[in-house]
Amino acid sequence: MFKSIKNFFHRQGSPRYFYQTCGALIPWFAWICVILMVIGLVQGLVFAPTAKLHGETYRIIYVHVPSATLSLSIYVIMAISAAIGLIWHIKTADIIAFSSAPIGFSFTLLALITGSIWGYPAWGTWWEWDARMTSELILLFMYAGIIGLGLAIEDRRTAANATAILTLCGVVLIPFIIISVDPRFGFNVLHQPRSNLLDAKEVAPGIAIPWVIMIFSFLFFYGTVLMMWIRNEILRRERNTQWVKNLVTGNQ
Amino acid sequence: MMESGIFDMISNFFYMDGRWSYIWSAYAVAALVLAINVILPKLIRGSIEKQIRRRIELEKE
Repeated sequence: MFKSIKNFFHRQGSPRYFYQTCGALIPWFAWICVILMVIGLVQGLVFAPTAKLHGETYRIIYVHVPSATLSLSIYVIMAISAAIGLIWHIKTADIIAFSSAPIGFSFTLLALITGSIWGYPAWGTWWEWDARMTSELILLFMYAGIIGLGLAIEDRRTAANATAILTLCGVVLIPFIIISVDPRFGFNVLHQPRSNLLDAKEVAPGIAIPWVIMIFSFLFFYGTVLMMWIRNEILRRERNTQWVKNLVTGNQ
Repeated sequence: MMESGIFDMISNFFYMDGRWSYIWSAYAVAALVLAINVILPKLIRGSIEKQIRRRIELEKE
C-alpha cells in the first residue's frame, strides 16, 4: 500500500504521467467547485442575514475575501514549488510555480477591484494608500514581474531558476500582508482587521458558513484552472516528444 | 450583532437596499475574471496544438 502510494507520487515527477493525472482530476475539481459555488452564492446572497454595520454591501465579501485568500495562498504554493524546483530540479515543481502566476495575478487584481468597490460605500473612498492595500498592490506587481520574467527568457531552465529566485525574494510580502491590518503590530489602517470566522459573536454563522464555502469553492477553482495551465505548459515543453505528437494527432 | 435580512421579494433582492450597483458590479467583475481564467488556457491550448500539428506536417514534408 505504502509502496504503491510512493510509486504514484514518484511517477508524478514525469511530465507525461502528471499530464494524465491532471486530466483525470480536472472534472472532479471543476464539479466540486461549481457545487460549492452555487451553495455558497445562494446562501450568501439570498439567505445570509443583513450586517448591521455594512448593510447589504457586505455581500461583496463572498468574492472579495476568497480572491484575497487565493492571492496569498497561490503565492505561498508558488514559493514552495519554486524552492523545490530550484533545489531538486523537479520539472513538475517548476511547471506548478510558473502556471500559478497568471492565476495569482488575476485573483490579486480581483481582490483589489472588489475591495475598491466595497471601499467606496463603506469608507467613502475607492483607494487609500494604507499598509494592506499598498502591500496587496505590490503583490500584484510581483506576480506581473514573475510572469514577465518567465516569458522574457527563452531557455526554460534559466527562466525557471530566475523566476524561482524572484518568487522566493517576494515571499517576505506574505506575512507583511497578513499582519498589515493588525493593531498589535502598530497598523491602524482603514481596512478592517481580520475576522475570526469561528467566533459566532464576531461573525454570525449565517454569514460565516457561506463565506467558508466560497473560500473552498475558489480553492477548487484554482486547482481546476492550475491543472489546465499545467497541461498546456507540459505540452509546450514536451512538444518534441513522441507521446505529445501522438496525443495531438490523435494516435494515442 | 446581525439582523435577520432574508429578502421578501425578488425585486428587493436585486435592489440590495439601494447598494445594487456596488454589489452587482463586484460580482460582474468576479464573473469576468473567472471566465477569463477558464477561457484563456483553452485558447492557449488550441494554439499550442496548432503549432505542434504544423511542425509535424513540416517534418513529414
